[in-house]
Amino acid sequence: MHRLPLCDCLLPQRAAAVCCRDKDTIYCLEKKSGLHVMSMENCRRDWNKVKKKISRCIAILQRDLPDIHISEYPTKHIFIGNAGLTTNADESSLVELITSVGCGLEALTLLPGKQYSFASFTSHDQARTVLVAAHGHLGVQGSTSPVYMAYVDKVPMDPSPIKFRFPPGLSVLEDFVSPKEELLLMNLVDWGASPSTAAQGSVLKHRQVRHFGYEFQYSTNCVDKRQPLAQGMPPAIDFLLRRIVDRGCMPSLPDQLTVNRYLPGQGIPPHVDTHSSFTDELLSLSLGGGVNMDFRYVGGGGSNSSTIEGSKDKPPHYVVYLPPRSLSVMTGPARYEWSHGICPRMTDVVASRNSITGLQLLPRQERISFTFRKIRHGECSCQNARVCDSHGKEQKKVSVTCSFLSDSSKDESKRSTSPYELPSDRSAARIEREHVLQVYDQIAEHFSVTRHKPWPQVLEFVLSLPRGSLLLDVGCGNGKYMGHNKQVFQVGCDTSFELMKICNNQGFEVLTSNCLQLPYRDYVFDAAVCIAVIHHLATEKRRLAAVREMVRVLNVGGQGLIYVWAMEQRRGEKKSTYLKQNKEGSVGAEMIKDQNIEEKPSPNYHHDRGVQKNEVVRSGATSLPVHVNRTEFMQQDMLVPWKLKPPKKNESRCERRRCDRGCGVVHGSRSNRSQSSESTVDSPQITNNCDVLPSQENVRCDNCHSKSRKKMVCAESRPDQVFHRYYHVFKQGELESLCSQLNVKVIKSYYDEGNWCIIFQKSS
Amino acid sequence: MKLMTHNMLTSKGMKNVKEGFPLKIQAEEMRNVDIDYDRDFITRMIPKLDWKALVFAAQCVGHKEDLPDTLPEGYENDNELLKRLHHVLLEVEVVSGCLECPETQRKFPISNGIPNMLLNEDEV
Repeated sequence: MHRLPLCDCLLPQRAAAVCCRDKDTIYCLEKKSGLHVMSMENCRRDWNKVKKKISRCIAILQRDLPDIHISEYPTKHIFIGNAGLTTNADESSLVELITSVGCGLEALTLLPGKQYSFASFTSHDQARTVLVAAHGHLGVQGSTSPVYMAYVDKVPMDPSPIKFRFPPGLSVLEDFVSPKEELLLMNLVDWGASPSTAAQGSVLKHRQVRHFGYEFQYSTNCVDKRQPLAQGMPPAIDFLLRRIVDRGCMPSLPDQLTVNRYLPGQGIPPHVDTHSSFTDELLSLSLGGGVNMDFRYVGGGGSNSSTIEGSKDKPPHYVVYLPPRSLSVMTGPARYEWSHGICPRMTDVVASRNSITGLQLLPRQERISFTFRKIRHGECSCQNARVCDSHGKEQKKVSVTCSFLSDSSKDESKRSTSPYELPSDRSAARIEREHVLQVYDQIAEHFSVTRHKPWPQVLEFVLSLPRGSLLLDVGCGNGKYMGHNKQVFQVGCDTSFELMKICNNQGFEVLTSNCLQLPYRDYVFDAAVCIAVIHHLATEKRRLAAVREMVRVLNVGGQGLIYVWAMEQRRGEKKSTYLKQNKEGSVGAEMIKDQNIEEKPSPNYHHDRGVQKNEVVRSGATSLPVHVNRTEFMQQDMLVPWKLKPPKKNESRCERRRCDRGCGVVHGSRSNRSQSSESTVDSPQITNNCDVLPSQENVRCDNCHSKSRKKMVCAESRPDQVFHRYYHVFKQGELESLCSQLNVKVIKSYYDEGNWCIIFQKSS
Repeated sequence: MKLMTHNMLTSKGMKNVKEGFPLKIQAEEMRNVDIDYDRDFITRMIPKLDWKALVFAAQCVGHKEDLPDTLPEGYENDNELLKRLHHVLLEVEVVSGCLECPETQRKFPISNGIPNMLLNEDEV
């Protein structure tokens, strides 16, 4: 094949691509696929598509950072238009992609809250090699589309480079054990059959744990000091315990040991070990593979707080690499005021030892950690009264240790890419207030419109109740499950007054309350349902409390039904309706039909110029990633966007909920239980209202020209507002293990259309 | 809010409240609705009620004379009583007003027939 002038459909040029025009046929030689024959038309169309995509990305860049200019010719810096923190790309996945097709990578710049990133190289030739190979062709791991790249003249200053620094109070003693000793220790625990390799459908793997001395209970974050395990410290490690004391790591012999086994992709959520259970020193011996440990300052006062860098909104985040055979010693602030955790991922980005700048990608290997602690008897003497739990007062709680139960049915997904920091009870309440309660009040009517078809199995439960039963619907929403069984007396509750009005209009008996404090007496109900509610609670403790409340109000023998959103949206080959594209306009599916597939940043949406990778930091609360609708869940805790639907054009009546002129509320009437004299019996569907957006001023409502008393504005001309609802999606078995902590018997546990479901019966 | 519902309500979710039951009803606006009388249904409801609380509630809303102070034996056969019960339980509704905790006197407002039992952070 002789070389001819390259046809313009191949710009930018592929490496080793040769185009020869022969009438209407183009031969493109691609590195991977060999000889590839396409018609000129197809070739051009593909590249037009790529050109369009990169143009769109460039437009976004130019809007955000007008100082950065695109270059037609290769430069040292590449703009990656569709891979960034909000698309779940991170340093390691980008490094993986780039180093697979080129070299000379000097730096990566990822900006919080942005869908793009930048790669800088030693020379423009190296940048060109990478761009030509990857642009429009290769994708980042986990992404379905290729990256779209362009050359730029400069890159923005990285506001948050990885800080490879030690928090105060941390020391890492390398070569604490010899390679021979390492082998001995790694073989000490029999972990059972080696795990299967790739996941089969929804099979997930444990992070395996063993305890010696005392059992560390993850659910209560404590040790029961009165109940030492029969299995004391294994004699084989006596030499290690002696060495710990001899080297001065701990004043006396440790008496509690937890052995963790991490396979690649596994981690442990950030936590602070309880003050009250253990003494001042926490020791962790790393065996097998090395790993990055994330330290985050979580507060506590004490004399060191003034030296901590970072502002109130931006708690410092340090990354510490723990090499194999090293012993990390955490005392003082590192022990009490900083949380530590390991991100569940397949690779770590470590500082490169060989060059002055630069990062190196280190794949994870099997790592076994021996964590040594000494049980504290008596009260904690730390200076950190604010965060200490040992004084029995109601303290401001620090992030609690992970909620992962050891060796039990709770699974850990290796898909979760970013460390989620468990909130304190107060932060949890705040997350729920901002991202559940307030959102539902604002989207109530729109939400109600999308929630009209009840799930059959829930209906079945409700209809099966005997005559004269008392039924409670916890979190009844728009009353979707109320009014079906005329033979029972049903009451509902929810936090949203707006939604309760919608129920009330249909004649249902409802009130506003929080599911954590149900205003009902003990033992009154024969049955209760709780559909799609407790996945809105931000800690395991609160989710358990909600179920406990539900059980409390039930009669002995009374049954409860709970539905929660499942992390596993795919069962075997079958996708849930949430994942499927709404091509057929499927009727009644529990889909948010008008949701954007891609998350769009909304004008009201704050981005902390913060430190966390892969995360959008909200005001002082814990960090949460934003989920992309209709895709698989990448983590258990996240914000799910809801785009408030703009009003329909044929809407004749204005429904100013907040308007004091009373433009009127359409009454739906599904039941014949009540006839209110002022109600107008309309179709069951509540019609849409105008976009009611919160604002701080008293303004005239455009539609009905009355001044809004409650400071709401009708803003039809405004862009669609996006709300973010908090969700903790459940893994298989998680709901069951929650219920197993209460006095109930599980009757049925199943999966229904993207939800985990349970029916239980109160035992006593 | 119907009196049937009121019979189940408590303010016990608040800290320092032992029973929180029954809540006192202070009604501003009331209304009557028409619900089909189902004798069997009412009969089945009765064992689930706290009778004293029901009488107390009826008293709060001015329906005291409808109900005896104690539930008489053989109520299942007393059609008149059952009819009155049906009315008091299901047809009398409080549209606006409030519910008052017997121990702390904390008021829970009722508007649009919907009691607001949401507690403040410091009450929990």
